[in-house]
Amino acid sequence: MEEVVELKKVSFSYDSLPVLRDITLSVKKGDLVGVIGPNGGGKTTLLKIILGLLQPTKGKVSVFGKPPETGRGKVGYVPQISKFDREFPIDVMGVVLSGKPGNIARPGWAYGQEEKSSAIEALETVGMKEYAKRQISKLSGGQIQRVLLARALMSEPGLLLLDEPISSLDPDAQKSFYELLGRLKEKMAIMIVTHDLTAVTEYMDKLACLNGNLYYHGKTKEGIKHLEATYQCPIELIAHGTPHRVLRRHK
Amino acid sequence: MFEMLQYQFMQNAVIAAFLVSIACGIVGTYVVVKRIVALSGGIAHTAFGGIGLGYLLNFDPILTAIPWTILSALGIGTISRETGISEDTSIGMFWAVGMALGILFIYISSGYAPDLFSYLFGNILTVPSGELVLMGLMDVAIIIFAFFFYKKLEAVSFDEEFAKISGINTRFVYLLLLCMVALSVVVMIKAVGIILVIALLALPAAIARKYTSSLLSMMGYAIILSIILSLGGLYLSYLFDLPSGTTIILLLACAFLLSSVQQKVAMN
Ligand SMILES: Nc1ncnc2c1ncn2[C@@H]1O[C@H](COP(=O)(O)OP(=O)(O)O)[C@@H](O)[C@H]1O
Ligand SMILES: [Mg+2]
Repeated sequence: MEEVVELKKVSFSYDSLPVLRDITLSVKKGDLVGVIGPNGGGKTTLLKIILGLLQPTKGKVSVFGKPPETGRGKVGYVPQISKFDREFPIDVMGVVLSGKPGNIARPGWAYGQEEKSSAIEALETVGMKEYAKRQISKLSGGQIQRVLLARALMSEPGLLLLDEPISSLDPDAQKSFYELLGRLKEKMAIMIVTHDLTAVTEYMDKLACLNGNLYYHGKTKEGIKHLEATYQCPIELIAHGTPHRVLRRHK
Repeated sequence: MFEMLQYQFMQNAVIAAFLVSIACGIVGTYVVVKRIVALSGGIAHTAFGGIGLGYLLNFDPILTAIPWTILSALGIGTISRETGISEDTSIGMFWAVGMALGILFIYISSGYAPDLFSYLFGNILTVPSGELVLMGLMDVAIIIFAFFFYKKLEAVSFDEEFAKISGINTRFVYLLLLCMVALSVVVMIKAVGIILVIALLALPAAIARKYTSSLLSMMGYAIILSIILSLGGLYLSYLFDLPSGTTIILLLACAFLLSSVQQKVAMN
């Protein structure tokens, strides 16, 4: 299978704060990889390294066989929504249209008919077509998540990176979100950062447990028993079904 | 009210109010949504160095302020992004150094600066016709940049990381935005003065933002609001014989407060 992401012995520090140590990981086409780990474990940092937004202090990253800065053209990114200014004056269409590099290269504010219909198509994929004209401040967290996913799909990515996309969804919405990802992975590789362990066991093919070190990377079933090492708290506490957010390290 | 318009200086003041509003409506919109109000305040204050340089070189201070302010904007932008120095530190540094250099230049140039006060606090009643042409040209430059880079500026303001991944040269777009801020600051100096510029840049756009769902309409509303409020301020200052820049700014602040109260009431 085609190699989509490959990390070899990658380490990263913010100034002097080491965040990732010796991460080796590979993701292939068709994989749906769950990335789990406590808050501050370096999950977002890992995604940013794959996107070439951060340079590893050590090690080698390749995306579609190229350095991230060139390979990221085929990567769709769905950031954590907490970082967004929800009052930004933009509507759903505006957000989605900005997802395709060709669209934003042209002058002026108007978009072409073709560009609009591809945006509508992306919105249809994520089930948000009726909201095209809605201002983003008038959407729920889960709806914004879908809009951001539609934006990421605009560039027809071969790899989708999602950062905690489901923490703001109700259980029904979560289920349909995972089903949507299940359909999308036919065409691409997906890495999804999540705290939802039910989903990990149910929907993911592979698991990466991250807490500075990568504690486990491989098939989901075998990986579950490594969770304890990752979260550094007893396994019963984190695997009893409902999503569980681990706030800080226990000792 | 109309008899005041028969004076040349009043006609110029009205035209200046329109020109200033175009600049602050367009650029202010980006300043507000990109949250660079403090940064823009820093850029505005560095402009004083350029004014001082004008006195020193015996040049129209506005003409020297243009390249000076643009260079300062590029300096603040580069230092706060590319070095370990934090943004607010570099704002503070440029702010104070810009003002200090202005004073120094004026001091060396004999210390006599007759309309210094109007550069600091503005006097929309003393804008000469030649300056109006210059302001018009800077507006044209701002409009051209805003048109050609509309989508890129929007993308970088909304989600800079995503814009970068999409292949936009975000550093270039950001510095371009700061240059637009510099230009708009210079356009506004004569009307409200260096010290008050930031209010004109931020407040009309901040009011407009509450009532719009796109950057384009936000710009439109901000321009209209700024025209109404600066003409209103001009009229009040004429009526009560008050300094024009100050009156305009205080009127803007009242409008901002009223709109905030109105929003709160409308929500309940
Ligand atoms: N821009 C930054 N500068 C310095 N430290 C950061 C920065 N972003 C994150 N960190 C630190 O790096 C660690 C990992 O952060 P992150 O990757 O966001 O974790 P996660 O997404 O797993 O919650 C945390 O300790 C966080 O405080
Ligand atoms: Mg995170």
